[in-house]
Amino acid sequence: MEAGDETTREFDEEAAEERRAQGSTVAALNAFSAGIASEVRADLGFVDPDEAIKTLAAAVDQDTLRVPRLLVLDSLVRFASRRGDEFRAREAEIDPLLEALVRKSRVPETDVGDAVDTVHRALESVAGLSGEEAPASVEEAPAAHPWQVFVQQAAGPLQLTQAEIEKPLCNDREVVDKGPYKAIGVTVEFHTDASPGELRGFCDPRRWHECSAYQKEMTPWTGAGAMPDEDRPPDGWRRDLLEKVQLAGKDLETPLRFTYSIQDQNDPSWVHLDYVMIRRTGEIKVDEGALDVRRVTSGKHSGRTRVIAKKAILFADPLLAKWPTVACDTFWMDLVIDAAVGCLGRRATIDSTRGIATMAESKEARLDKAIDEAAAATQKSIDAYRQLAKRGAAQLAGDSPGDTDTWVELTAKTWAQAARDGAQAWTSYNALLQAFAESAESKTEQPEPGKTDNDA
Amino acid sequence: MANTLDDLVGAAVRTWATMARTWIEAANAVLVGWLDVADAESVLTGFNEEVVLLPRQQAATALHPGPFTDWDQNQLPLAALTVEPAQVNAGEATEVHVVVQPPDGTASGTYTGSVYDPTGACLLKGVGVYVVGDKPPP
Repeated sequence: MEAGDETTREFDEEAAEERRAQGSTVAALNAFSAGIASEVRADLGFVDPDEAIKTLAAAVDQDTLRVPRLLVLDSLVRFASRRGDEFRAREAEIDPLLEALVRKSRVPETDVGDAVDTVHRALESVAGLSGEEAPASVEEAPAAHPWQVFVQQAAGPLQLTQAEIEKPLCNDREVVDKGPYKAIGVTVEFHTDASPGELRGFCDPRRWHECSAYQKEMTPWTGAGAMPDEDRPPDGWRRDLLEKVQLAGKDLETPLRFTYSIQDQNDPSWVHLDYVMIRRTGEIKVDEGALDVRRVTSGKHSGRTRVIAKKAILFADPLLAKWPTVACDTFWMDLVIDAAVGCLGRRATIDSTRGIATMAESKEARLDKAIDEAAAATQKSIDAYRQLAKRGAAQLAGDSPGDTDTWVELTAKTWAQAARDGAQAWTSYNALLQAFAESAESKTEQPEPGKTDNDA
Repeated sequence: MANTLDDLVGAAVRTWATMARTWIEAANAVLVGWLDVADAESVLTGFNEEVVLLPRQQAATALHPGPFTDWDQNQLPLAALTVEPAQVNAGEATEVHVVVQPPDGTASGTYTGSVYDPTGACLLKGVGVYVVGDKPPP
Protein backbone atom coordinates (compact mmCIF):
# COMPACT_ATOMS: atom_id res chain seq x y z
CA MET A 1 0.00 0.00 0.00
CA GLU A 2 1.39 3.36 -0.96
CA ALA A 3 1.27 6.49 1.13
CA GLY A 4 -1.85 8.46 0.41
CA ASP A 5 -3.73 5.49 -1.03
CA GLU A 6 -6.92 6.11 0.89
CA THR A 7 -9.09 3.69 -1.03
CA THR A 8 -7.30 0.57 0.17
CA ARG A 9 -6.95 1.65 3.74
CA GLU A 10 -9.43 0.86 6.40
CA PHE A 11 -9.41 2.92 9.52
CA ASP A 12 -11.33 2.00 12.60
CA GLU A 13 -11.95 5.13 14.66
CA GLU A 14 -13.39 3.13 17.53
CA ALA A 15 -10.23 1.04 17.78
CA ALA A 16 -8.20 4.24 17.53
CA GLU A 17 -10.09 5.69 20.51
CA GLU A 18 -9.31 2.56 22.54
CA ARG A 19 -5.70 2.76 21.47
CA ARG A 20 -5.41 6.37 22.57
CA ALA A 21 -7.05 5.53 25.90
CA GLN A 22 -4.45 2.81 26.42
CA GLY A 23 -1.73 5.23 25.34
CA SER A 24 -2.85 7.56 28.11
CA THR A 25 -2.76 4.63 30.55
CA VAL A 26 0.84 3.89 29.59
CA ALA A 27 1.56 7.61 29.85
CA ALA A 28 0.08 7.65 33.36
CA LEU A 29 2.49 4.95 34.47
CA ASN A 30 5.43 6.67 32.79
CA ALA A 31 4.54 10.01 34.36
CA PHE A 32 4.56 8.35 37.76
CA SER A 33 7.88 6.63 37.13
CA ALA A 34 9.31 9.94 35.89
CA GLY A 35 8.53 11.41 39.30
CA ILE A 36 5.86 13.82 38.12
CA ALA A 37 3.96 15.19 41.10
CA SER A 38 0.57 13.62 41.82
CA GLU A 39 -1.23 16.98 41.43
CA VAL A 40 0.28 17.44 37.96
CA ARG A 41 -0.67 13.91 36.97
CA ALA A 42 -4.19 14.47 38.23
CA ASP A 43 -4.45 17.75 36.32
CA LEU A 44 -3.35 15.95 33.18
CA GLY A 45 -6.18 13.49 33.71
CA PHE A 46 -3.98 10.47 34.44
CA VAL A 47 -5.09 7.54 36.57
CA ASP A 48 -2.90 6.46 39.47
CA PRO A 49 -0.18 3.88 38.71
CA ASP A 50 -1.93 0.94 40.38
CA GLU A 51 -5.01 1.48 38.29
CA ALA A 52 -2.89 1.91 35.17
CA ILE A 53 -1.15 -1.42 35.74
CA LYS A 54 -4.45 -3.20 36.41
CA THR A 55 -6.02 -1.69 33.29
CA LEU A 56 -3.14 -2.84 31.12
CA ALA A 57 -3.19 -6.31 32.68
CA ALA A 58 -6.91 -6.62 31.93
CA ALA A 59 -6.38 -5.46 28.34
CA VAL A 60 -3.60 -7.99 27.75
CA ASP A 61 -5.56 -10.76 29.45
CA GLN A 62 -8.74 -10.06 27.47
CA ASP A 63 -6.94 -9.65 24.14
CA THR A 64 -8.02 -6.03 23.90
CA LEU A 65 -4.56 -4.49 23.99
CA ARG A 66 -4.48 -2.04 21.06
CA VAL A 67 -0.95 -0.74 21.54
CA PRO A 68 2.20 -2.76 20.85
CA ARG A 69 3.15 -4.86 23.86
CA LEU A 70 6.60 -3.33 23.44
CA LEU A 71 5.11 -0.06 24.67
CA VAL A 72 3.92 -1.82 27.84
CA LEU A 73 7.22 -3.62 28.38
CA ASP A 74 9.12 -0.40 27.80
CA SER A 75 6.96 1.27 30.41
CA LEU A 76 7.63 -1.49 32.95
CA VAL A 77 11.37 -1.28 32.39
CA ARG A 78 11.26 2.50 32.80
CA PHE A 79 9.32 2.03 36.02
CA ALA A 80 11.76 -0.53 37.44
CA SER A 81 14.83 1.44 36.40
CA ARG A 82 13.59 4.80 37.64
CA ARG A 83 11.80 3.92 40.86
CA GLY A 84 12.93 0.53 42.05
CA ASP A 85 11.34 0.85 45.49
CA GLU A 86 7.94 1.85 44.11
CA PHE A 87 8.20 -0.96 41.60
CA ARG A 88 8.93 -3.55 44.32
CA ALA A 89 6.04 -2.25 46.38
CA ARG A 90 3.61 -3.15 43.58
CA GLU A 91 4.32 -6.83 43.12
CA ALA A 92 0.63 -7.65 43.65
CA GLU A 93 -0.37 -5.38 40.77
CA ILE A 94 2.56 -6.11 38.45
CA ASP A 95 2.62 -9.91 38.57
CA PRO A 96 -0.86 -10.32 37.02
CA LEU A 97 0.30 -8.06 34.17
CA LEU A 98 3.44 -10.14 33.73
CA GLU A 99 1.39 -13.34 33.82
CA ALA A 100 -0.96 -12.00 31.15
CA LEU A 101 2.01 -11.00 28.98
CA VAL A 102 3.64 -14.39 29.42
CA ARG A 103 0.42 -16.26 28.62
CA LYS A 104 -0.04 -14.26 25.42
CA SER A 105 3.52 -15.23 24.47
CA ARG A 106 2.33 -18.82 24.03
CA VAL A 107 4.41 -20.22 26.83
CA PRO A 108 3.27 -23.77 27.67
CA GLU A 109 0.82 -23.77 30.59
CA THR A 110 3.18 -25.79 32.78
CA ASP A 111 5.91 -23.19 32.32
CA VAL A 112 3.88 -20.07 32.98
CA GLY A 113 4.80 -19.78 36.66
CA ASP A 114 8.51 -20.09 36.02
CA ALA A 115 8.32 -17.70 33.09
CA VAL A 116 6.55 -15.06 35.18
CA ASP A 117 9.21 -15.47 37.87
CA THR A 118 11.94 -15.04 35.27
CA VAL A 119 10.41 -11.88 33.83
CA HIS A 120 9.88 -10.54 37.35
CA ARG A 121 13.52 -11.27 38.19
CA ALA A 122 14.56 -9.51 35.00
CA LEU A 123 12.72 -6.39 36.15
CA GLU A 124 14.23 -6.80 39.62
CA SER A 125 17.66 -6.85 37.98
CA VAL A 126 16.77 -3.62 36.21
CA ALA A 127 15.61 -2.10 39.49
CA GLY A 128 18.85 -3.21 41.14
CA LEU A 129 20.92 -1.62 38.44
CA SER A 130 19.43 1.84 38.82
CA GLY A 131 22.07 4.35 38.06
CA GLU A 132 24.62 1.97 36.70
CA GLU A 133 25.51 4.47 33.99
CA ALA A 134 26.70 6.93 36.56
CA PRO A 135 30.38 6.01 36.80
CA ALA A 136 30.90 7.17 33.25
CA SER A 137 34.36 8.31 34.19
CA VAL A 138 35.67 4.78 33.73
CA GLU A 139 36.51 4.86 30.08
CA GLU A 140 35.67 2.10 27.63
CA ALA A 141 33.33 0.28 29.97
CA PRO A 142 29.83 1.45 29.11
CA ALA A 143 27.15 0.14 31.43
CA ALA A 144 24.47 -2.21 30.22
CA HIS A 145 21.29 -0.31 29.51
CA PRO A 146 18.21 -1.35 31.53
CA TRP A 147 16.48 -2.60 28.39
CA GLN A 148 19.50 -4.75 27.53
CA VAL A 149 19.54 -6.15 31.04
CA PHE A 150 15.84 -6.90 30.79
CA VAL A 151 15.94 -8.67 27.43
CA GLN A 152 18.93 -10.78 28.40
CA GLN A 153 16.69 -12.54 30.89
CA ALA A 154 13.16 -12.01 29.62
CA ALA A 155 13.55 -12.59 25.87
CA GLY A 156 12.86 -16.31 26.21
CA PRO A 157 9.78 -16.31 28.47
CA LEU A 158 8.21 -13.44 26.53
CA GLN A 159 9.23 -14.80 23.11
CA LEU A 160 10.53 -11.36 22.20
CA THR A 161 11.01 -10.70 18.51
CA GLN A 162 14.25 -9.27 17.18
CA ALA A 163 12.46 -5.96 16.65
CA GLU A 164 11.52 -5.90 20.32
CA ILE A 165 14.99 -6.89 21.45
CA GLU A 166 16.39 -4.03 19.37
CA LYS A 167 13.90 -1.55 20.82
CA PRO A 168 14.31 2.07 19.76
CA LEU A 169 16.38 4.00 22.28
CA CYS A 170 15.53 7.56 23.22
CA ASN A 171 17.78 10.38 24.37
CA ASP A 172 16.16 13.55 25.70
CA ARG A 173 19.17 15.10 27.41
CA GLU A 174 20.31 17.38 24.61
CA VAL A 175 19.69 21.10 24.98
CA VAL A 176 18.95 22.88 21.71
CA ASP A 177 19.14 26.63 21.26
CA LYS A 178 16.23 28.00 19.26
CA GLY A 179 16.35 31.79 19.18
CA PRO A 180 15.71 32.91 22.77
CA TYR A 181 14.61 29.42 23.87
CA LYS A 182 16.39 26.40 25.26
CA ALA A 183 14.45 23.48 23.84
CA ILE A 184 14.81 19.80 24.70
CA GLY A 185 16.48 17.81 21.93
CA VAL A 186 14.97 14.34 21.63
CA THR A 187 16.58 11.71 19.43
CA VAL A 188 15.31 8.16 18.98
CA GLU A 189 17.08 5.52 16.92
CA PHE A 190 16.84 1.89 15.95
CA HIS A 191 18.13 -0.45 13.26
CA THR A 192 16.01 -2.93 11.36
CA ASP A 193 16.19 -5.45 8.54
CA ALA A 194 13.14 -3.86 6.90
CA SER A 195 14.12 -1.79 3.86
CA PRO A 196 13.70 2.01 3.71
CA GLY A 197 10.94 1.52 1.14
CA GLU A 198 9.02 -0.71 3.52
CA LEU A 199 9.20 1.95 6.20
CA ARG A 200 8.12 4.88 4.02
CA GLY A 201 4.81 5.14 5.89
CA PHE A 202 6.72 6.14 9.01
CA CYS A 203 7.82 9.32 7.22
CA ASP A 204 4.27 10.20 6.12
CA PRO A 205 2.54 12.14 8.90
CA ARG A 206 -0.82 11.63 7.20
CA ARG A 207 -0.59 8.00 8.31
CA TRP A 208 0.66 8.32 11.88
CA HIS A 209 -2.83 8.12 13.37
CA GLU A 210 -3.32 4.65 11.88
CA CYS A 211 -1.19 3.12 14.60
CA SER A 212 -0.55 5.83 17.15
CA ALA A 213 -1.61 5.68 20.77
CA TYR A 214 -1.58 9.49 20.88
CA GLN A 215 -2.08 10.96 17.41
CA LYS A 216 -5.39 11.79 15.80
CA GLU A 217 -5.71 12.22 12.07
CA MET A 218 -4.14 15.44 10.84
CA THR A 219 -6.13 17.97 8.86
CA PRO A 220 -4.92 20.64 6.46
CA TRP A 221 -3.82 23.83 8.20
CA THR A 222 -5.43 26.88 6.64
CA GLY A 223 -4.86 29.36 9.41
CA ALA A 224 -2.24 32.07 9.83
CA GLY A 225 0.99 31.41 7.98
CA ALA A 226 -0.45 28.65 5.82
CA MET A 227 1.11 28.10 2.40
CA PRO A 228 -0.36 26.25 -0.57
CA ASP A 229 0.48 22.56 -0.92
CA GLU A 230 3.62 22.03 -2.92
CA ASP A 231 4.56 18.95 -4.90
CA ARG A 232 8.04 18.47 -6.17
CA PRO A 233 8.04 15.71 -8.75
CA PRO A 234 8.75 12.92 -8.80
CA ASP A 235 8.34 12.17 -5.13
CA GLY A 236 8.70 15.18 -2.86
CA TRP A 237 5.93 17.21 -1.29
CA ARG A 238 5.24 19.85 1.35
CA ARG A 239 2.05 20.16 3.36
CA ASP A 240 0.84 22.43 6.15
CA LEU A 241 -1.09 20.22 8.56
CA LEU A 242 -2.68 20.58 11.95
CA GLU A 243 -1.26 17.87 14.19
CA LYS A 244 -3.59 16.64 16.93
CA VAL A 245 -2.10 14.81 19.86
CA GLN A 246 -4.25 13.48 22.68
CA LEU A 247 -2.61 12.97 26.05
CA ALA A 248 -5.25 11.82 28.52
CA GLY A 249 -7.40 14.90 29.15
CA LYS A 250 -5.21 17.25 27.16
CA ASP A 251 -5.46 17.86 23.42
CA LEU A 252 -2.50 19.49 21.73
CA GLU A 253 -3.12 21.03 18.32
CA THR A 254 -0.05 22.26 16.50
CA PRO A 255 0.24 23.69 12.97
CA LEU A 256 3.26 22.08 11.35
CA ARG A 257 4.89 22.31 7.94
CA PHE A 258 5.95 18.87 6.71
CA THR A 259 8.46 18.38 3.92
CA TYR A 260 8.71 14.82 2.56
CA SER A 261 11.33 13.48 0.21
CA ILE A 262 12.25 10.03 -1.03
CA GLN A 263 15.32 9.06 -3.00
CA ASP A 264 13.55 6.61 -5.32
CA GLN A 265 9.90 5.61 -5.19
CA ASN A 266 10.60 1.97 -6.14
CA ASP A 267 13.55 1.00 -3.99
CA PRO A 268 14.69 4.05 -2.04
CA SER A 269 17.95 4.10 -0.17
CA TRP A 270 16.45 6.81 2.01
CA VAL A 271 13.15 8.43 2.95
CA HIS A 272 13.11 11.69 4.87
CA LEU A 273 10.70 14.05 6.56
CA ASP A 274 11.36 17.50 8.00
CA TYR A 275 8.79 19.35 10.08
CA VAL A 276 8.71 22.76 11.64
CA MET A 277 6.10 24.65 13.64
CA ILE A 278 4.35 27.31 11.59
CA ARG A 279 3.34 29.40 14.58
CA ARG A 280 3.51 29.17 18.33
CA THR A 281 0.52 27.84 20.22
CA GLY A 282 -0.62 28.30 23.79
CA GLU A 283 0.91 24.93 24.70
CA ILE A 284 4.09 24.78 22.63
CA LYS A 285 6.90 27.24 21.99
CA VAL A 286 9.22 25.04 19.92
CA ASP A 287 8.38 21.92 17.91
CA GLU A 288 10.50 20.86 14.95
CA GLY A 289 12.73 18.07 13.76
CA ALA A 290 13.09 15.28 11.25
CA LEU A 291 12.58 11.60 10.55
CA ASP A 292 15.15 9.74 8.53
CA VAL A 293 15.07 6.17 7.25
CA ARG A 294 18.29 5.24 5.52
CA ARG A 295 20.12 2.15 4.31
CA VAL A 296 23.42 1.76 6.13
CA THR A 297 26.38 1.30 3.81
CA SER A 298 29.26 0.82 6.24
CA GLY A 299 30.04 -0.26 9.78
CA LYS A 300 28.51 -3.04 11.85
CA HIS A 301 24.96 -2.35 10.61
CA SER A 302 25.96 -2.33 6.95
CA GLY A 303 23.10 -3.52 4.76
CA ARG A 304 20.46 -2.83 7.41
CA THR A 305 18.28 0.25 7.78
CA ARG A 306 18.82 3.00 10.30
CA VAL A 307 15.73 4.82 11.54
CA ILE A 308 16.15 8.06 13.40
CA ALA A 309 13.59 10.54 14.75
CA LYS A 310 14.56 13.99 15.99
CA LYS A 311 12.41 16.46 17.85
CA ALA A 312 13.28 19.79 19.45
CA ILE A 313 10.43 20.55 21.83
CA LEU A 314 9.65 23.20 24.40
CA PHE A 315 6.29 23.33 26.12
CA ALA A 316 4.61 26.53 27.21
CA ASP A 317 1.90 24.48 28.90
CA PRO A 318 2.74 24.66 32.62
CA LEU A 319 1.87 21.01 33.26
CA LEU A 320 3.84 19.53 30.38
CA ALA A 321 6.75 21.87 31.09
CA LYS A 322 7.12 19.99 34.39
CA TRP A 323 7.62 16.70 32.54
CA PRO A 324 10.91 17.01 30.63
CA THR A 325 10.89 13.36 29.54
CA VAL A 326 7.35 13.49 28.14
CA ALA A 327 8.38 12.99 24.50
CA CYS A 328 10.45 9.88 25.26
CA ASP A 329 7.74 8.69 27.64
CA THR A 330 4.79 9.10 25.30
CA PHE A 331 4.00 10.22 21.76
CA TRP A 332 7.47 10.42 20.22
CA MET A 333 8.66 7.04 21.44
CA ASP A 334 5.30 5.53 20.53
CA LEU A 335 5.63 6.72 16.94
CA VAL A 336 9.05 5.11 16.56
CA ILE A 337 8.00 1.90 18.33
CA ASP A 338 5.11 1.65 15.87
CA ALA A 339 7.63 1.73 13.04
CA ALA A 340 9.94 -0.75 14.77
CA VAL A 341 7.31 -3.43 15.39
CA GLY A 342 5.76 -3.12 11.99
CA CYS A 343 2.63 -1.01 12.11
CA LEU A 344 4.05 1.66 9.82
CA GLY A 345 5.99 -0.72 7.66
CA ARG A 346 6.92 -4.33 7.22
CA ARG A 347 7.06 -6.37 10.38
CA ALA A 348 10.65 -7.46 10.19
CA THR A 349 10.63 -10.67 12.16
CA ILE A 350 7.18 -12.16 11.88
CA ASP A 351 6.82 -15.65 10.53
CA SER A 352 4.23 -14.91 7.88
CA THR A 353 3.26 -18.55 7.40
CA ARG A 354 2.07 -18.91 10.96
CA GLY A 355 1.47 -15.31 11.86
CA ILE A 356 3.28 -15.47 15.16
CA ALA A 357 6.35 -13.72 16.37
CA THR A 358 9.40 -15.81 15.71
CA MET A 359 12.17 -16.21 18.19
CA ALA A 360 15.15 -14.11 17.46
CA GLU A 361 17.49 -17.00 18.02
CA SER A 362 17.33 -20.66 18.94
CA LYS A 363 17.74 -21.58 22.60
CA GLU A 364 21.16 -23.10 21.87
CA ALA A 365 22.18 -19.91 20.12
CA ARG A 366 21.02 -17.86 23.09
CA LEU A 367 23.11 -19.98 25.45
CA ASP A 368 26.13 -19.47 23.23
CA LYS A 369 25.37 -15.78 23.05
CA ALA A 370 24.93 -15.49 26.82
CA ILE A 371 28.30 -17.18 27.34
CA ASP A 372 29.89 -14.90 24.75
CA GLU A 373 28.38 -11.83 26.36
CA ALA A 374 29.51 -12.89 29.82
CA ALA A 375 33.01 -13.46 28.46
CA ALA A 376 32.95 -10.11 26.69
CA ALA A 377 31.79 -8.36 29.87
CA THR A 378 34.62 -9.99 31.80
CA GLN A 379 37.14 -8.97 29.17
CA LYS A 380 35.80 -5.42 29.24
CA SER A 381 36.15 -5.40 33.01
CA ILE A 382 39.72 -6.69 32.81
CA ASP A 383 40.51 -4.00 30.25
CA ALA A 384 39.07 -1.34 32.56
CA TYR A 385 41.21 -2.57 35.47
CA ARG A 386 44.25 -2.77 33.22
CA GLN A 387 43.71 0.86 32.25
CA LEU A 388 43.38 1.83 35.88
CA ALA A 389 46.46 -0.17 36.87
CA LYS A 390 48.47 1.42 34.06
CA ARG A 391 47.45 4.85 35.21
CA GLY A 392 48.36 3.92 38.79
CA ALA A 393 51.77 2.66 37.72
CA ALA A 394 52.34 5.79 35.64
CA GLN A 395 51.38 7.89 38.61
CA LEU A 396 53.89 6.11 40.88
CA ALA A 397 56.65 6.51 38.34
CA GLY A 398 55.75 10.08 37.46
CA ASP A 399 56.92 13.43 38.72
CA SER A 400 54.38 13.70 41.50
CA PRO A 401 53.64 10.21 42.82
CA GLY A 402 51.97 11.62 45.93
CA ASP A 403 49.37 13.64 44.02
CA THR A 404 46.31 13.06 46.20
CA ASP A 405 43.74 14.18 43.66
CA THR A 406 44.90 11.65 41.14
CA TRP A 407 44.93 8.83 43.66
CA VAL A 408 41.47 9.74 44.89
CA GLU A 409 40.21 9.85 41.32
CA LEU A 410 41.77 6.48 40.51
CA THR A 411 40.41 4.91 43.68
CA ALA A 412 36.92 6.25 43.05
CA LYS A 413 37.05 4.87 39.52
CA THR A 414 38.18 1.50 40.84
CA TRP A 415 35.29 1.43 43.31
CA ALA A 416 32.87 2.38 40.61
CA GLN A 417 34.24 -0.32 38.33
CA ALA A 418 33.99 -2.89 41.12
CA ALA A 419 30.34 -1.97 41.72
CA ARG A 420 29.65 -2.18 38.02
CA ASP A 421 31.32 -5.61 37.89
CA GLY A 422 29.14 -6.87 40.71
CA ALA A 423 26.00 -5.80 38.89
CA GLN A 424 27.22 -7.12 35.54
CA ALA A 425 28.24 -10.45 37.10
CA TRP A 426 24.76 -10.85 38.59
CA THR A 427 23.15 -10.04 35.25
CA SER A 428 25.42 -12.40 33.33
CA TYR A 429 24.90 -15.14 35.91
CA ASN A 430 21.12 -14.86 35.59
CA ALA A 431 21.27 -14.74 31.80
CA LEU A 432 23.49 -17.83 31.72
CA LEU A 433 21.23 -19.75 34.09
CA GLN A 434 18.21 -18.80 32.03
CA ALA A 435 19.82 -19.74 28.74
CA PHE A 436 21.23 -22.96 30.17
CA ALA A 437 17.88 -23.97 31.64
CA GLU A 438 16.14 -23.37 28.32
CA SER A 439 18.84 -25.20 26.44
CA ALA A 440 18.55 -28.22 28.76
CA GLU A 441 14.77 -28.07 28.49
CA SER A 442 14.86 -28.05 24.70
CA LYS A 443 16.95 -31.22 24.76
CA THR A 444 14.68 -33.09 27.15
CA GLU A 445 11.32 -32.00 25.75
CA GLN A 446 11.33 -33.13 22.14
CA PRO A 447 8.00 -32.63 20.37
CA GLU A 448 5.92 -35.68 19.63
CA PRO A 449 6.32 -37.01 16.10
CA GLY A 450 4.02 -35.24 13.70
CA LYS A 451 3.14 -32.52 16.18
CA THR A 452 3.92 -28.94 15.21
CA ASP A 453 4.13 -25.72 17.18
CA ASN A 454 0.71 -24.85 15.86
CA ASP A 455 -0.76 -27.76 17.73
CA ALA A 456 0.27 -26.35 21.07
CA MET B 1 60.21 19.06 71.82
CA ALA B 2 56.52 19.18 72.68
CA ASN B 3 56.04 21.99 70.19
CA THR B 4 57.76 20.00 67.44
CA LEU B 5 55.62 16.97 68.23
CA ASP B 6 52.48 19.10 68.30
CA ASP B 7 53.44 20.55 64.95
CA LEU B 8 54.03 17.09 63.52
CA VAL B 9 50.75 15.75 64.88
CA GLY B 10 48.94 18.85 63.72
CA ALA B 11 50.39 18.55 60.25
CA ALA B 12 49.51 14.87 60.14
CA VAL B 13 45.95 15.53 61.27
CA ARG B 14 45.54 18.35 58.78
CA THR B 15 46.87 16.11 56.01
CA TRP B 16 44.56 13.34 57.10
CA ALA B 17 41.61 15.75 57.30
CA THR B 18 42.36 17.07 53.83
CA MET B 19 42.61 13.54 52.51
CA ALA B 20 39.39 12.52 54.24
CA ARG B 21 37.52 15.54 52.94
CA THR B 22 38.74 14.89 49.43
CA TRP B 23 37.71 11.26 49.76
CA ILE B 24 34.28 12.18 51.01
CA GLU B 25 33.82 14.72 48.24
CA ALA B 26 34.92 12.18 45.65
CA ALA B 27 32.66 9.53 47.13
CA ASN B 28 29.81 12.01 47.20
CA ALA B 29 30.46 12.92 43.61
CA VAL B 30 30.25 9.26 42.65
CA LEU B 31 27.16 8.75 44.80
CA VAL B 32 25.41 11.86 43.57
CA GLY B 33 26.18 10.87 40.01
CA TRP B 34 24.84 7.45 40.87
CA LEU B 35 21.59 8.72 42.32
CA ASP B 36 21.07 11.41 39.72
CA VAL B 37 20.44 8.74 37.15
CA ALA B 38 20.17 9.97 33.62
CA ASP B 39 17.44 7.70 32.39
CA ALA B 40 18.15 8.66 28.83
CA GLU B 41 18.54 5.40 27.01
CA SER B 42 21.20 6.47 24.58
CA VAL B 43 23.76 9.20 24.14
CA LEU B 44 22.86 9.84 20.52
CA THR B 45 22.37 13.50 19.73
CA GLY B 46 20.80 14.80 16.59
CA PHE B 47 20.85 18.56 16.21
CA ASN B 48 23.35 20.77 14.37
CA GLU B 49 25.61 17.77 14.06
CA GLU B 50 25.79 14.48 12.18
CA VAL B 51 28.18 11.61 12.73
CA VAL B 52 29.16 9.56 9.70
CA LEU B 53 31.67 6.78 9.19
CA LEU B 54 34.40 7.62 6.70
CA PRO B 55 35.88 4.50 5.10
CA ARG B 56 39.62 4.11 5.46
CA GLN B 57 41.76 6.28 3.24
CA GLN B 58 45.02 5.21 1.63
CA ALA B 59 46.86 8.25 2.90
CA ALA B 60 46.37 10.83 5.62
CA THR B 61 43.66 13.09 4.27
CA ALA B 62 42.41 16.54 5.17
CA LEU B 63 38.62 16.88 5.14
CA HIS B 64 36.65 19.83 3.77
CA PRO B 65 32.88 20.32 3.82
CA GLY B 66 31.22 21.29 0.57
CA PRO B 67 28.07 23.37 0.18
CA PHE B 68 25.16 22.21 2.37
CA THR B 69 21.66 23.14 1.18
CA ASP B 70 18.09 22.51 2.35
CA TRP B 71 14.91 21.62 0.43
CA ASP B 72 14.42 25.28 -0.48
CA GLN B 73 18.01 25.57 -1.73
CA ASN B 74 19.04 27.76 1.19
CA GLN B 75 22.79 27.31 1.56
CA LEU B 76 24.76 27.38 4.78
CA PRO B 77 27.86 29.57 4.70
CA LEU B 78 30.99 27.42 4.64
CA ALA B 79 32.22 29.23 7.73
CA ALA B 80 29.31 27.72 9.65
CA LEU B 81 30.51 24.18 8.90
CA THR B 82 33.20 22.24 10.70
CA VAL B 83 34.41 18.72 10.10
CA GLU B 84 35.97 16.95 13.06
CA PRO B 85 38.58 15.61 12.84
CA ALA B 86 39.88 17.95 10.18
CA GLN B 87 42.24 15.23 8.97
CA VAL B 88 42.08 11.45 9.12
CA ASN B 89 44.94 9.00 9.33
CA ALA B 90 45.75 6.50 6.64
CA GLY B 91 44.32 3.01 6.80
CA GLU B 92 41.58 3.40 9.40
CA ALA B 93 37.88 4.04 9.17
CA THR B 94 37.03 7.16 11.13
CA GLU B 95 33.89 8.58 12.70
CA VAL B 96 33.55 12.06 11.31
CA HIS B 97 31.42 14.77 12.90
CA VAL B 98 29.94 17.39 10.62
CA VAL B 99 29.06 20.27 12.93
CA VAL B 100 27.02 23.35 12.08
CA GLN B 101 26.97 26.59 14.00
CA PRO B 102 23.97 28.23 12.40
CA PRO B 103 24.34 31.97 11.93
CA ASP B 104 21.46 34.31 12.73
CA GLY B 105 18.73 34.14 10.15
CA THR B 106 19.17 30.45 9.35
CA ALA B 107 16.02 28.52 8.48
CA SER B 108 15.49 25.25 10.34
CA GLY B 109 15.66 22.01 8.40
CA THR B 110 17.90 19.27 7.11
CA TYR B 111 20.83 20.56 5.09
CA THR B 112 22.52 18.04 2.84
CA GLY B 113 26.03 18.19 1.45
CA SER B 114 29.26 16.30 0.99
CA VAL B 115 32.74 16.11 2.45
CA TYR B 116 35.74 16.39 0.13
CA ASP B 117 39.49 15.88 0.17
CA PRO B 118 41.83 18.76 -0.79
CA THR B 119 41.77 17.73 -4.47
CA GLY B 120 38.01 18.07 -4.58
CA ALA B 121 37.31 14.34 -4.61
CA CYS B 122 34.09 13.48 -2.82
CA LEU B 123 34.67 11.27 0.22
CA LEU B 124 31.24 11.36 1.84
CA LYS B 125 28.15 12.06 -0.21
CA GLY B 126 24.70 13.05 0.98
CA VAL B 127 25.44 13.88 4.59
CA GLY B 128 22.31 15.35 6.16
CA VAL B 129 22.47 17.61 9.20
CA TYR B 130 19.33 18.80 10.97
CA VAL B 131 19.95 22.47 11.74
CA VAL B 132 17.90 24.40 14.27
CA GLY B 133 17.72 27.95 12.99
CA ASP B 134 16.09 31.04 14.41
CA LYS B 135 14.36 32.19 11.23
CA PRO B 136 10.59 31.70 11.46
CA PRO B 137 8.92 29.79 8.63
CA PRO B 138 7.77 32.04 5.77
